[in-house]
Amino acid sequence: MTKDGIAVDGWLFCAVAVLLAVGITMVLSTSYLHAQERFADGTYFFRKQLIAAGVGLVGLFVAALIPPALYRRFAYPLLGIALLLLILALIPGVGLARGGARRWLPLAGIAFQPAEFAKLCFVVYLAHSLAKKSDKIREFSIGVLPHVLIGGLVLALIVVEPDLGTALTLGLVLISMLFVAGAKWSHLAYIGLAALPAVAFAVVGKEYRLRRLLSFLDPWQDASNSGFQIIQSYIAFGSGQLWGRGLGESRQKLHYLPEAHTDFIFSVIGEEMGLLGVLCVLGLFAVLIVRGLSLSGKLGDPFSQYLAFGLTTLLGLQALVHMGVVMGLMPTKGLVLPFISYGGSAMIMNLIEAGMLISLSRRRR
Amino acid sequence: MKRSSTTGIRSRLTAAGLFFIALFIVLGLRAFQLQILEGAKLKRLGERQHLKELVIQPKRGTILDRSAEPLALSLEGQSVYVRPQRLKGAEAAGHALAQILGMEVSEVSRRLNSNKPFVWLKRKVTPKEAERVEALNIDGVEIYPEPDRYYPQGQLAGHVIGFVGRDSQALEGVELHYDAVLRGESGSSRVERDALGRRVLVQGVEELRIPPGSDIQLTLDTSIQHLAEKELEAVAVKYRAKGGIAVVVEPFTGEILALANYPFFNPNNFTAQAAQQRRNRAVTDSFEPGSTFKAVLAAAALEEGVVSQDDLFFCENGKYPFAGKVIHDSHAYGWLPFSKIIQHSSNIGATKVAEKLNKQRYFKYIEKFGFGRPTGIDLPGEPPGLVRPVDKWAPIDLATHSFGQGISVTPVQLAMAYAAIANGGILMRPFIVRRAFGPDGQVLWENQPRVVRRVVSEKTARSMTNILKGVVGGGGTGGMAAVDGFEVAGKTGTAQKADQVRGGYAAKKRVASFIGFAPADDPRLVMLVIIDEPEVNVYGGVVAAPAFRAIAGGALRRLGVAPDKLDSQPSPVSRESAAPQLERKSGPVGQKADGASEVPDFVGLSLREAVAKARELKLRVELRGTGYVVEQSPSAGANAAKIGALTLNLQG
Repeated sequence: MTKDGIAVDGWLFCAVAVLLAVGITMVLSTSYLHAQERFADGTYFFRKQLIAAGVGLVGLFVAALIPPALYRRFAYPLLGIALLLLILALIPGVGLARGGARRWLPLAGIAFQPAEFAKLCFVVYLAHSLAKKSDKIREFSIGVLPHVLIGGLVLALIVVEPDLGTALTLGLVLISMLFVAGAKWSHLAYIGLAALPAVAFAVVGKEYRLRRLLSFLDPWQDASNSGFQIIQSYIAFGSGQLWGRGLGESRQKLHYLPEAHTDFIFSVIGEEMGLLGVLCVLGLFAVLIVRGLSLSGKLGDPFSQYLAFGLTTLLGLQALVHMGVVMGLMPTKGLVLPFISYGGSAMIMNLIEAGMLISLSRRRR
Repeated sequence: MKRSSTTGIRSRLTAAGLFFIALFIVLGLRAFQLQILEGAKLKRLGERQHLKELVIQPKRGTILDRSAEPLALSLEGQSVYVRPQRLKGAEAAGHALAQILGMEVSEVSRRLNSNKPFVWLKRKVTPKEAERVEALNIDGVEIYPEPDRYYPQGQLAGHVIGFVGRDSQALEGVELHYDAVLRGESGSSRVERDALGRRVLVQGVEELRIPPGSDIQLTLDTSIQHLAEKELEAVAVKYRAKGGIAVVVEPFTGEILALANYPFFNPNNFTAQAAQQRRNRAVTDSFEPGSTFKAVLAAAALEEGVVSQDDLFFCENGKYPFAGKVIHDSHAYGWLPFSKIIQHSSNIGATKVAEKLNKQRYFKYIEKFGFGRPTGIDLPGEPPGLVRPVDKWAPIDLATHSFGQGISVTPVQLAMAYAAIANGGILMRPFIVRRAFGPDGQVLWENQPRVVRRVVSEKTARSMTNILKGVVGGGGTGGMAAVDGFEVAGKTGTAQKADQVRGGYAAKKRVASFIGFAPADDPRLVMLVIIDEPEVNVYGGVVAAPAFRAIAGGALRRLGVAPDKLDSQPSPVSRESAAPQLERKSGPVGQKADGASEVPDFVGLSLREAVAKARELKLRVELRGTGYVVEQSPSAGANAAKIGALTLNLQG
């Protein structure tokens, strides 16, 4: 595909466009009754999502036009702003609390999730810092430790929100980027070992997390309580079978699945569009990831390579974790599916991230 | 260096790519497992929670009286319920709801804060209350449509109609006995439900339409019922009685025209009244009949030919030692003819008749008249009464049973026994429901008059009628039962009450009764009036007979029976007051001169007239429908000897 005579990765753009179309359709399907009940307006969430997608597309095109070097220059200020916003969100009176979590900041009349912004800033920072220290990457104190410390700070701020799913994704992104940048296996193993107590503490510290973990191991043990959600998700997938019930025909979205339009939207895709729909969505994300990774390999400088890889991993891991969770392959929950789930902040940031990948694609050799 | 790092990153990117691909394959396989391999199983599991068998109760049928006056109706009621878990701001809501529903704030808040998923706030609210609750528009407080049963006549025939509970479950009376008919077929549909149990309207799922329950028409006549209740109450109040019962029956068909119990019961607020008061004692309770039972003895003696009307018996001047005890009469009599024994109600005379009859034969007639087993009336809770088998009788029992002691019968049993005497000797099965209508008014089925058995011959029945006429019109104990313009046959009773606590008979407790029929020679009704434990006066002839007179007088007028026309010609006005009068085509009833060889014309006769005529001609008839005969098969003029049974189609 050409745009203004410049080569753009058409595969990548198309994958994002199709995922976005699927997502907006599914948001309407999954949120209609819920919105009808809560706001007497079935398209309430749908319209908000349309606006977010519109804003996000503008962001995508702007990002596609911005040369990546510009991000690099602002890598540290951006990270600073992200940290500041994360802290602000935690301050009562400044941040918004919903359902026991402090994940939002009021921004121009909308609730903005600083964690979504922080993810991008963290990836930009990592790409910059790893590129800068690429020669010292195998030295633990220079190549690894600073990134782990900064990453640990960002993660900690997200964990206390609490938003374990996002924190987990970000941790995986950190490890992946360190790996691709050439960090030693042993160093990566140390990080893993060091993270273990923190993970164990986070899990055991909150009783519901432990229950969730146990129910992941055997949801049928406690099918009416802790295992309820995942079993409902299974039922959604199972009901879809090969062809699906048809668009809009999900039964599981009728309050059987919690948060059908966000955390469990992939289950409804499975129910309404069947295995074929599931494989299509999987395929689209696979295209996105493969194109992103191959783009990374084709780029000339380490920063661009790391940034392309980081953005791809960020989008890809969120998708994989979301899908893995709703299919019962992973514990935890509370992660949106990029381009598809309802959620303005994530939608806008994900599209900007896609725009940055497209921008990078224009600089292929 | 640079080059090697580039190849290094390439290989690491490839490794990452392969890792991602592997994860996608795992996800794809997992999807395949969930959707294809386990798909059917999981789908079934889902259907178990989505599809709920929703049982829809149809609108309950209406109960009508014989002239289509509604006695029980179903209205669309509304109830308010709460889903506490969906409720926000229970505090503010509580005050508003308490005010609208007229409930205590504490009670409302207790229910709003319940940890159950579903709590009734108030059942059966008024439409206005429901509207105001609806207007509050509180999430979690909702209105549920519930059928509400309403009895427009209030206490009238309340015991007969019975009632349904708050959840439409039938609990008493016709409501209970005909519950299956009134309730109708409850429809069930598999409806889609969301996780909160609410119905979901999904395209293509049609609203289930189920036909309402059937309407039921009673044989009961509201006017006669009303009259009976009014008189019972007046008498009970006047004599400070504990209660009273009146049973009015059509003697030829067994249709119950009125069935009244005092104290009354209003089914509209059944909860406010004790279970004792809800009982339809005319059907469910048995009592010692006392002297009214002498008619059974007399009929048996006449039928068996052991006495004739004019046989004289010596009544021992009031005291007669028998089986180690002494039998007393309230008045001392010397020689009395058989008929006067009944008319003056001599216990000693009755004992002597019973001695002549002997206990085996007496017992046979007690059973033939239907005592000791339920009549089969279509109302709940009917007992058989208490009749000891003859081989268990002590010697004294022959005497006591002869004047109705040591035996217990239900009011309906006694009324049907007298109906047998009134109609020429046939015991009929009593019934209170005439027919059931479908939703479009089509008749679904009808109760037909059913003969239980012939008890005595017509000759005996006629003799008994004459004797019983003397009770009222010939200076007997029932003079106060006489109805102006009509000849009444009947019998008084004054029975002692069994002492429930100490055994034996209670010293002062009496049951005063009168049972009779009118007009005596062409009876249109049989009526039993029982006054339980009157205080001022205890005699049936004084307490119960005037009530009979008042009720019978009004009832005969209501039935359109012309006074002083006591011949066999039935009155032109039918029992069906609402139906148009039909011109009668049939000739005179009696065909005996011709040897009853030809089938007469039945067309135009009422049910009752047809039954009487067929019986007179000794024709077996099969009745289809009620009202008037519109068709007969074989038609008039056929050889009566050659046909097995005459089929009559009735409408009206």
